[in-house]
Amino acid sequence: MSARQDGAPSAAELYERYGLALHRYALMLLANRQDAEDAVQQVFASLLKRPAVHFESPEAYLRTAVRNESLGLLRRRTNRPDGADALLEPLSGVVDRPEERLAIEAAMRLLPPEQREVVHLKVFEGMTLQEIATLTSESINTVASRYRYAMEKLRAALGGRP
Amino acid sequence: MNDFDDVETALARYRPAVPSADATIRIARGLATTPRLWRRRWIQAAAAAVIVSIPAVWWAFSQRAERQWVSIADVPEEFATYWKSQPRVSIPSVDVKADVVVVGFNDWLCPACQELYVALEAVFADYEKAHPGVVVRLLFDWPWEAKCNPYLRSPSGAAELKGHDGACTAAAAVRAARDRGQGDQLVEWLEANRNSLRGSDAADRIIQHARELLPGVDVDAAMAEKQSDIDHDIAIAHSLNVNATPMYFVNGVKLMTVKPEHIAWAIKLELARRQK
Repeated sequence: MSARQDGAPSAAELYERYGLALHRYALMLLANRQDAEDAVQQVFASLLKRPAVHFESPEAYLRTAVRNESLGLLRRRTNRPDGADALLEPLSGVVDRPEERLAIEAAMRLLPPEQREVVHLKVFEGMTLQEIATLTSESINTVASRYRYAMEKLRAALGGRP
Repeated sequence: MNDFDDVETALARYRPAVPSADATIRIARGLATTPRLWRRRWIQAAAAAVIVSIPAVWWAFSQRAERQWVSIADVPEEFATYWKSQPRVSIPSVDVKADVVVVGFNDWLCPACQELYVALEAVFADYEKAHPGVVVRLLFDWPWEAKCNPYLRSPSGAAELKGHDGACTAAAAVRAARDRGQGDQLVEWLEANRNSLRGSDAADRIIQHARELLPGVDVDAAMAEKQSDIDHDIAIAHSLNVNATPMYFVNGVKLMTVKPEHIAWAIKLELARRQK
């Protein structure tokens, strides 16, 4: 891994380090693989054009940039996700249950992006509600409500008890 | 009512899907050459020199082609371009003299690792038969089990991942068996039983089979002797930012893939590079 002369990590290094997590975040926001890949690519393409900046927290910067790019894509998007892309994969070591996975994916697609985002950050990334509130610039009550609404909708969609 | 007892429990079995390999390669390739770098005069001068020297290089290449035994004709151009752009790192503790050194970080209970390991056996065997010692594979242990591996984290580092029960035991058992010439047999058994080696009894079953495979050997003691080696591998993996398996380094270039053809292509490109 090569570092830039000023000691700051290069865009390639940042992509190697955070690219996968950013792809997953964008995928959950957009529920569309192609759009998610485009969003991440656009963020890193923009990074190349910027003057050298030393980020105090590259991960936080990139996460916010991917979020903004994804939300912009959502505003511009006229068509709904077609539902053909796989949103989830089983954790390593967990036996795949295609029926369950597809049912969860379908239910996730029914959620508004902001609720899907909270579910992603809390369940898949293990963030606290306070951390999510900071990232999304929302109050913790709003974040908690989004999570609660999302779980209720998921339970209803999947046929479980609220 | 369907099978879901609890939505959160069901969600916890999954994670968002990974991007396509094409996208990853496309973005990484795009980042390899920055416009800022291109504006540097010495880069432009070097590029001009390269362009001017193309005829001479072509002639030299054609003269040497006959001496080269590796063909990269089947390596996709996109992969070759991607490969050239990747940084190289030095793998600690690896001091092997060979044209191509393939270092793999492996978990014997990881299905993708097993499939890749089996698929690559033929690749390495072919090279060893035709050109002994030219291509060397070194396997390092990176068990997906917190019992011996403290670095099981999600890509963001935020969450500790669930692992494979028995992975640490499998690593120690394979090493103990290899010392006694039974490593391949144990690896084959792990591969054949991978679907049933899940859950809390996996470690006990592996130890039981190792005892049957190694009669007269104090298996527990033999495995305990191997723990420091496994710790050493995990420490090396951590120094290289390895956070998942299978993870391979071909002459120091990181390649996270489950496709054997990617490793095969990388080996060919490295051989071609050495034979220039």
